[in-house]
Amino acid sequence: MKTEPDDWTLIERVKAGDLNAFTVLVRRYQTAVYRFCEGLLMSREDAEEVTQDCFVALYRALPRLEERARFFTLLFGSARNLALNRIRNRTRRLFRERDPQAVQATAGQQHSPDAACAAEELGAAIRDALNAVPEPFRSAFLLREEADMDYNAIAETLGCPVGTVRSRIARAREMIRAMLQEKGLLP
Amino acid sequence: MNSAIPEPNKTFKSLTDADRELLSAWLDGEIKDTEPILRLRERTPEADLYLEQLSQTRALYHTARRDVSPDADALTSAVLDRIQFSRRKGVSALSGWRPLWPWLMATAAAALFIIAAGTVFIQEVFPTRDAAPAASDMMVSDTASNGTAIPSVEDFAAFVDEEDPVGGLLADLEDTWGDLSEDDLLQYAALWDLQTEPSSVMAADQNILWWEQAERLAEFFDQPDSAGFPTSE
Repeated sequence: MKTEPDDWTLIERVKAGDLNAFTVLVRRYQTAVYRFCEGLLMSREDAEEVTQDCFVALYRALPRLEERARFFTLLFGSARNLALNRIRNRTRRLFRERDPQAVQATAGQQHSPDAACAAEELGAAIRDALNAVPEPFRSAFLLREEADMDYNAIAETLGCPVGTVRSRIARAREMIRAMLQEKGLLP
Repeated sequence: MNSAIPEPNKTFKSLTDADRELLSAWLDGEIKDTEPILRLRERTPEADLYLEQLSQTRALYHTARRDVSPDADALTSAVLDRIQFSRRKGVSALSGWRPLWPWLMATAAAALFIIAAGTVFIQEVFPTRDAAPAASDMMVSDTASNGTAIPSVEDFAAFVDEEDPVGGLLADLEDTWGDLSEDDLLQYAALWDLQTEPSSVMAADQNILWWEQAERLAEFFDQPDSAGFPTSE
């Protein structure tokens, strides 16, 4: 049976000039990175751009990349930084362009950037709930649910103890559950 | 904390924060030792209820987000396009002179072509004017060996034209410039020949450079007979 090469083997190949190995890496992680970013940004468009940025940044950083940690923790750590930067820039831009009251009103609507998808009630409710979960609870929760990471990897990605990860995930779940209960979607 | 978030469920009063975290982690498969979980579930029925609600929340979450995925092929292509673009840009940045060298080569080639074409053109248009004066400079002095003023090549050629160049004899030349020695006359006869050769002869010799013509002239003076010039002897 043919086994897929592990991440660091692929990275060594990319360093040697094999762009196909990088394509394998992109295909392996792009969906999880995208879903993680979408959960943070609440925008498919932004999520796609940040996912691209993340892989391009990874490619540029490859010559300096050393096998010190699990590869995907570096990847998702980078994706998280890029997504949070985008949120900050988006907020700053809104503040520059509009008055604060308008920004607050807009911020409440940011959870549904894609109106067609938001039409689905359940999807909208989940977005509302997820959007209400503050950082860093949301990152921990998304890494668990979207990237299917174990607690150690999440701790490595977020740079915090495993116990903290456990409490953040539990707390995020409770917040989402409370929101869904309020909307009558859960008993 | 966002004020819109409802306070987490207060119904599970018998569960501490640590208990809820433990149950959440157990749901994620992070608790290998099941003993604390079993004890907790025995202690309070709220533990099972809490677990059930977490499971429902999780199921609902994944149901709602199952369509959240990118167009994988488009995303991969976009990433690879950007990388290849940055690679090309990187190559140019590393060796910025490279895009210039074809232009430099083309310019140099054009300059060489113009020089070569100009040289050929000059040789075509002025084939003997380049050669003859040079030969005359080399071979003929301003003053003849016996001190007589030497006529210019133009004077000499004008004379020959008047006297029928085809039938002109060395004797006629001697009559006109009687003060010149025979050697001087022969030199002028040679120059005249170079300047008035029929075009068919010149066409054959057009690629001969002036110094080759000069060498031929010098050879003539060394061996007059072999060069075919008329002599008085």
